[in-house]
Parts: sequence; structure tokens; C-alpha cells
Amino acid sequence: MRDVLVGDYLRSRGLTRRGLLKFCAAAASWMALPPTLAQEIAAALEKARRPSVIWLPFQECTGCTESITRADSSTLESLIFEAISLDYQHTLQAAAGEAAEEARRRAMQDNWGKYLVVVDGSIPLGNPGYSTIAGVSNADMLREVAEGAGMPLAPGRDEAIDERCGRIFAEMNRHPAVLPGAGDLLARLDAAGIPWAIATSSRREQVAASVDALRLTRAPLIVDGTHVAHAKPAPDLLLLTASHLNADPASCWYVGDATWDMLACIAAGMPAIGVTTGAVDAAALLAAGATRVVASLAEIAV
Amino acid sequence: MNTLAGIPVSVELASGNVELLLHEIGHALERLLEFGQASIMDLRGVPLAPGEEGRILEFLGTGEVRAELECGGLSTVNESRFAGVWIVTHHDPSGEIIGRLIEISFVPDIIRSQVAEMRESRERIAREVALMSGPAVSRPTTARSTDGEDTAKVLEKR
Repeated sequence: MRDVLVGDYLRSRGLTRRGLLKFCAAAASWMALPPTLAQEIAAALEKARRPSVIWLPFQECTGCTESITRADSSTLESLIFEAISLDYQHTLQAAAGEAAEEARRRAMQDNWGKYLVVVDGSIPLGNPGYSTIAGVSNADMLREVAEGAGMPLAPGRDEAIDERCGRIFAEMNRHPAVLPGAGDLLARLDAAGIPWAIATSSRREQVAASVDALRLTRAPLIVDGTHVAHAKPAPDLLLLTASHLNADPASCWYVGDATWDMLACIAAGMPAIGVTTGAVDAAALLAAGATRVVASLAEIAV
Repeated sequence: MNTLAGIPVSVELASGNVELLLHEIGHALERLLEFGQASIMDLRGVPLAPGEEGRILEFLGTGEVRAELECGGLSTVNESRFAGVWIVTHHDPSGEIIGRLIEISFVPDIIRSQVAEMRESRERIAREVALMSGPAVSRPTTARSTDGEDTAKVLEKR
């Protein structure tokens, strides 16, 4: 079955080329691709052989799997879904036990460099033991599987995805809540004559609503992901921000709430204050390299 | 008055993109006329404020051609009041809109007969006519142009 072309398979299931064109037009829209690419997507899809897909459901609610497998009508998506070779999905293959893991390894070996990986759910990094599959932590399994996956992004595609993500985030981030103590801390820094800046891997326009919510008395210096080649955890953003502030990185303090913030600080040689208002706790921030950890921005003395 | 649309209040918001998009449609029509280059614009790819998509569709209006396709849900193709400017709306099987495109072309791609399916049709016609005529009669299954080239290939080149 894997040698059957996707186009032949879809036609055998009654899908017309117009139907495929329609699906590809919608898919181009979902993926923020130019609509003129629909014809090319359709042509590529028709000539493709069924790709091997390894689906890794990690810490998720299984609702996504349920909604796909329990669909009560045959949709175009389901035909496409059948047109892939789903070689591993451990929730669906739970009863198979070790045989499922063997199927994953075989699929990887047979399709090394060509298979697709779908990741569903979060991955515990602080304590990898919270979620394991067949005794392998989620992080280790993803590293192992991702190594042989292959689908290079077309030039500019990453930029288009990032831009679209940002636009959706900005639409949803209409009324951001200010972190307690944030505005006060920045006011105290200004009063003390200590220069500060916002260093974000996001785009400037994506954080505009959050910055507006601070109701600052002056426009802040914002260094964003578009100014550097590598976002956090690479040190680029922090080093560039320090240079804008005319400061030695080692003499700056970085305030952040994510493990990647701390890792970027280590790489930049910049002391880091971790704040436990984000998704990770004090232990994870310290493990990632935080110099100090506080529970609230109000605890930071100027 | 039991629907939102029935409440006589409208909120005026503007992204500033409506006029830009309409200008772009005009330029695309110019490219089509000058160079034969078709264009497609994805209305979902343009940041619009609530109500602005309706303003665009209202401006474009309806022309004399309307086509409906039933392929994985309804799709409608309407020529606007401006010749060569088409509004293509795709629905999924449950009726939800999954895409709305403004296509500036002589004929939208999705309306054209598809060459691969035309080839299958050619074979099918030959088979069915042969059945009608009885097994003793053999007929050519491939029409040829005057220089001997497969007609479907000629069509595909066009």
C-alpha cells in the first residue's frame, strides 16, 4: 500500500481533482502560504507516496486522538489521513505493548531521513520521569525520533509560520494582565537612573498589547527576535540588548521566567533572576542556571 | 430580534486594508489584461476588522456568472460586478466556510475541467461507446491533432 501514489489512492476513493484542489486551497490558507500554491501542493500531493508518520502523543488529553478516530463521517481530511502510513501512535497501539515500540523502530529504520513526526502534548523537562513510554522519557524519545525525521522547510516558510503565529497571538492577547510588581519595578529603575530594556524572542508587534498594558511613561527600548539570527536560548538577543544599553553583559541583570531565559543568560555570561510566575518552578529555573529565584517581581530591590 | 444580526447596532472598526485590497485587485486585473497573469488573494490572509470582509464583498457585488460545485462540501464561484474578478467560497461538508478567495482570472482554476480527469473520461467514453456498438467493432481511443499529437497533451500544454 505504501507504494501507491496518494493521488491514485484519493481518486480510488472517489475524490475528484477539483475536490483535491479545494482541499489544497484551504490547506494553503491554514499554513499561511500564498493561495497560488494550491495547484503546486495538489500536484506534489498527487505524486507523493504515502509518507511514514510517527505520531508521539505525550502529555495530552487524548481528545485530539479521540476526535480524529471517532469522526462519524468520511471527511476529506480522513481520506488524507488514510493516505499516510501511520506507523506509530502509542495511545492507539497501547494493547500491542513492546510490539508497538518495535514498529516505531522499524518505521524509523525503513524511512530514515524521510518520515514525518507529529508531536502532541507537552514534555516534562524538570523531571523526565513524570511521563514515559515503554520506560523511555518523552524528551529522550523525541530526540531519538526527531533525528531521523526529514522534511526541510521551504525558504521563508519559517518566517511565514512565525508571522502567522504572532498575528493569532496578537488577536487573542487583547487584554493582557500585568504581572504584579512589573510596572512598579520599571518605575523604580527609571527613578534610580538604571537603564533597562525588553528583550523578547517574539516580534515587537506581538508584544505591543502587553507593553501597552504596563502604561509606561516613556517608550521602552525593545530588542526583538527579528534583530538577531538566533532566538533564545542562544545568547544573541541578550548580547545585542546589552550593547544597546552600552553595558557589559556581566554587569546586567536579566529577569525572566522560562528555562530558555536562564540558558540564554548562561550563554551570554549574564546573571539571571528567575521569577516563578511562568510555567516552571524554582527548581527548574535554578537547574537551568538562574543566579537567584524570586516568587514576585516586587521582591527585586533597586 | 433573536440573532446578533437582528440587533440594530454596528461597531465601526477599520484595519485600513480594505482600500489597499481593492487597489490590489485593480492592479491584478491590469496584470491579467497586460500579461495574462492570473492572481489569487486569500481573504483570510489579510488582517481585517469585523465587518470589513462584508464591505469588500458588497463593493465587488455580483455579476452574471454563478457556479456551484459539490466536492467535499459546497463551493460557490461568483463573478463579481467587475469582469474577471471572481469570489470563490469553499465550505466543508458541514457547511462551515473553510476558505474565501478572490481570484482575478479569465476562469477560476476550480471551474476548468481537469486534464487528468479528461484523460479518464476519454477512455471511459471509448469503452462505453464500444460496449454500445458491440464487441466486433474496434474504435480508436485517442483523438489526434493534424500533426499527430495527442489532443489531451495539446490541451495540457495550453
